[in-house]
Parts: sequence; structure tokens; C-alpha cells
Amino acid sequence: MSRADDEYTARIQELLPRLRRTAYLLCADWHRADDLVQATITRLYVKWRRARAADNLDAYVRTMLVRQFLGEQRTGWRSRVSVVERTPEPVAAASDVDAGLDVRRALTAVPARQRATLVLRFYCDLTVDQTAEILGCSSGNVKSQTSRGLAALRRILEPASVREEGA
Amino acid sequence: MNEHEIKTLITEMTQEPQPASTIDVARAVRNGHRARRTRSLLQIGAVFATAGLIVGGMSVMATGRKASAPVMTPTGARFDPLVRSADFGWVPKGMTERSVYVGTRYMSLVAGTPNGRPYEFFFPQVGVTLFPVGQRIDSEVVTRMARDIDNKCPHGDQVGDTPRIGGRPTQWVYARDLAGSHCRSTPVELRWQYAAGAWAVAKIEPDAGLANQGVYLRIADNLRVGETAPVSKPFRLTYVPPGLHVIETTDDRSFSTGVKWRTSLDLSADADGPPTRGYPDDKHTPMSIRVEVSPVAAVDPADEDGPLNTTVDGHPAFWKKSGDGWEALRVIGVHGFQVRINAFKAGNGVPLRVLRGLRLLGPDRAAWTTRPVG
Repeated sequence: MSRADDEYTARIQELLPRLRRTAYLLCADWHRADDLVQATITRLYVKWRRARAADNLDAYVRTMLVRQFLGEQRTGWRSRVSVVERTPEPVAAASDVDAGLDVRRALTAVPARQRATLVLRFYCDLTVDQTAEILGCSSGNVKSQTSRGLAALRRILEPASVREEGA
Repeated sequence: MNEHEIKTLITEMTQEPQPASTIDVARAVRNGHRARRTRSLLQIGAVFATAGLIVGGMSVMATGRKASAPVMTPTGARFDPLVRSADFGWVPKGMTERSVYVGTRYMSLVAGTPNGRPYEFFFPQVGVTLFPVGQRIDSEVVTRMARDIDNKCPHGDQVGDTPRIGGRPTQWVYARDLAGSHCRSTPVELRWQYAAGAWAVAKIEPDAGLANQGVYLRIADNLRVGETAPVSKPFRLTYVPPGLHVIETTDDRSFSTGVKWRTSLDLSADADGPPTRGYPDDKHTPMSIRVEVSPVAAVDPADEDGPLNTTVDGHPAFWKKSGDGWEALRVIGVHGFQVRINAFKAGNGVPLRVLRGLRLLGPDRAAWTTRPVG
């Protein structure tokens, strides 16, 4: 293994835990998250010469991960899954289901781009502008995606009675 | 539920028990190597040799070699991608397949044996990368060949001087972690100046069973440099956006089948920039276009870009465009060829426009042109 390979491996090992968690939030499936990360770090290796010079490698890889995720949504078998603008009404959640499972179910019900926006904003703690840069869209678009995503999450996570009270 | 609560919930979600990770960094390195080699037609470097064979005769070969006299002709500080200035004079028997990549800052020659797979080109087994006068060896261009390593051995290559080739500086690069080498230093690369101030690098794939210093030296000794063979292409582009320069040509050719070949031309707004080979690195990549032509016989039905999703003039085609300005078009069956045109920052619909202006010259190489643009 060359020096560059050693450096690549060491840097990836540092980034891997957080990368895997981010991937999991994007796709809500640990196995698919692993596939997503695997594909991302393979692409990263191909681009390593440029990537290693990046000011913020963490951000560079995260961007690749999110784009890989969104790219997979557009192509391949996942593109056959209908992604709707408005989330369907969820099946009433059993009250004894733990919160983590609820959030995961809710996240998967949110359209992919909105989900990516939420993960970048609320897990990666990115600003609107930083999120816009990664997603390749305007800040206004990020704001609207965030708003819609949050609304969708609330719709799914909050009990019907709360929604009715708040209405 | 406010934003803070949602943030807390999302963060908590990542704290739930996780199954064991199946992510394999070593696999990413291996596949990344392969991607560099095949998908992007990547750079070069090749190598050979089984680790076990390598070690024994090393010092003998280094010192006891009879110095032959390869023709050494100085080259300029920049290569012309439309001129092939070097060629193999000798490669091990059976290596019938060839690739030649000519950029402005490097030129690579690759040879290998047929792999027998219908849609894949050969795996590089022997490679020589040449750099122009004054250009430092760029190890990113000299592709590191995939090699099995022994993790119990110390990593990190070592460079050692050796008797000169043609009276000029020469170096061996050794690895100690090749699988089967029992941690002994094994040559994995030969570097020598093929002309004053101009370096060449030879590599042999460790698993090819040929990596001994004698083979390296014979390849180096017989390398023909200073040639001025024009690169010919089976097409002429009558339209490309203004401001683009030819920055790389590639030519993959299977002499064993005779029908499997692939040739390409890369143009970029940056005359000295690295080739994108159709896939921009990031948003900073300048405007670029890649045109690749191959016979339909070499078309891979499981092409990496994706399944066919449209037609162009009745021909099955793949078309894709991304938000960052990348657009790809692959059309199958245009006068018996597959034509692939990738563009970045070139504007909407440019691949189709380039295709419409493409003049195909047929499979007979005698009819190909050495002026593919204009």
C-alpha cells in the first residue's frame, strides 16, 4: 500500500463513524447506509488527489455522500419508488413504539431531498447557505424544503389529537 | 414540536444500536484502483511480478546487466496529445493488448494479456509512463497497481538508486509489504531518465508473475522514444464549443480480438489541466468535453452510466443531465459504432450538437484522421 493509500485509509477510518450515521439518517436502513458509504468512499478514492487538498475533507466527503444518495434516488431501482411531494397520511403509530423507531419511520416518509435537507440542517448543523451549496440549489429552496420537511415530520410524529388541537 | 425537539430526535436516532458495519476500506481502495484503470481509462502504470519471484535475483540484475543503448531523444516540456512520441520496443510474450494515453503532462503506454471477458478491456500488466522534460514524476498519474499486501509487513515504499540506464539517473522503488514476499524488499517500480531531465516510470502488476528486475530493465532498454507518430481517430468533430483545447487522447486496442477497441478525445478550457475523462471532479472543473467511439461489438450492456433510456435518430441511447452542468449522451449503432459524449459546463444540449457534427470515418484505420477537430 502506498503512502497515499495509507493516508486515505487513516483519514477514512476517522470519518467513518459519522459518515455511517449520516448515511443512516438519509436512508434509514443500516445495510443500505453501509452500501452508500462504501460507494462514496470508493468514489472518494478515485478523486483522492483532489479531495486530500480540500480545506475541509469532512465536508467534501459529506457532500459526496449526499449526492450519492440523491443520485441513487434518481437512478436504478430506487427511482421506481414514487417520491411524492406531500407525504401520505401515516398509519396511526402505536403509542408504545419507541421514539427512535417513530423518527426513522417518519424520516423515510419524507421525500428524499427534504430528508437530505433536514439531515444536513439538523444533524450536520449546517447553515442554510452551506446546505444549499451541497444540494446545488438556492438558499430559498433550502428554506422551503426545510419547512416542508419539518411539516411532514410533525404530521407524522405528533399524535392526531395534538394536530387537531393545534389546528 | 419545535426544531430543537426534532434535532434531538434525529440525533437520538443515530444512538440506537447499530449492526456490525460491512464497510470495507480496503475494498474501496481495490475498487478505486480498478475504477481509475478501467472506467476513466485512467492513467497508467503497470507492473508485473509475483512477489515470490521478485526478490532473489534483484541485486544481480541491478549490477550485472549489460548496458544496452536505447535511442534517447530529448522531448519538449509539454507533450502534444495528438502525437505519440514513444512506444514499447519489447513486452513479455502474450501481452497483445495495448492502451496509449497521451496528455500534455504525461504519456502512458500499457500492455496486457487478453482477459477473455467480452465487454471488458484487458487489465494493465505492464506500463510505462513518460513525463516531459522538467516535469516531476507525478505518482498520481502513474497508477498504483492493485497489489495484495501482507499487513504484518512494514508499509511504505522505499526508493533506492541503481546503476544508470543510458548513463542517466535511475531508481528502483521497493515495497516490503507484498503478499508472499515475507517482508523482503521487492521492486515495484523502475524510474529512469529516458532523456536529460525527462523521467519515465515502468511498473509491472505484481500478480502477473513477471516482475523481476530483468523484465523491468528490458522494457526500459527497448523503449522507443523520440517518435513522432500522429494519433489518428475514427471521427472528425465539426462542432465543438469555442475555447476548448485537446488535452488528452486515449486508444485501447485488443490485438487478440481485432474487433475490440475504444478511442477517445478529451477537450478542456484549461489547455494544461488534467483530463476529466468525462467525469468532472467538482464544480471547479473547467468546461470540458469527452468524445469516445468504439465498435458496437465492444459495447457493454451493463454500462456504468446506466441503462438505455431514450433514442437518438432511432438508435438506442442513454442520456443524463445533472444539476451541476454535467451532461452525458451515449448512442449505440451510429454507423456501427457506439458514441459516448460527455460534457461539463458546455451548455444545454451540447452533447447532441457535437454528435450531429460528428463525422465517422469507419473501422479501417487507414481512413482515420490525424486532425480530429475542425
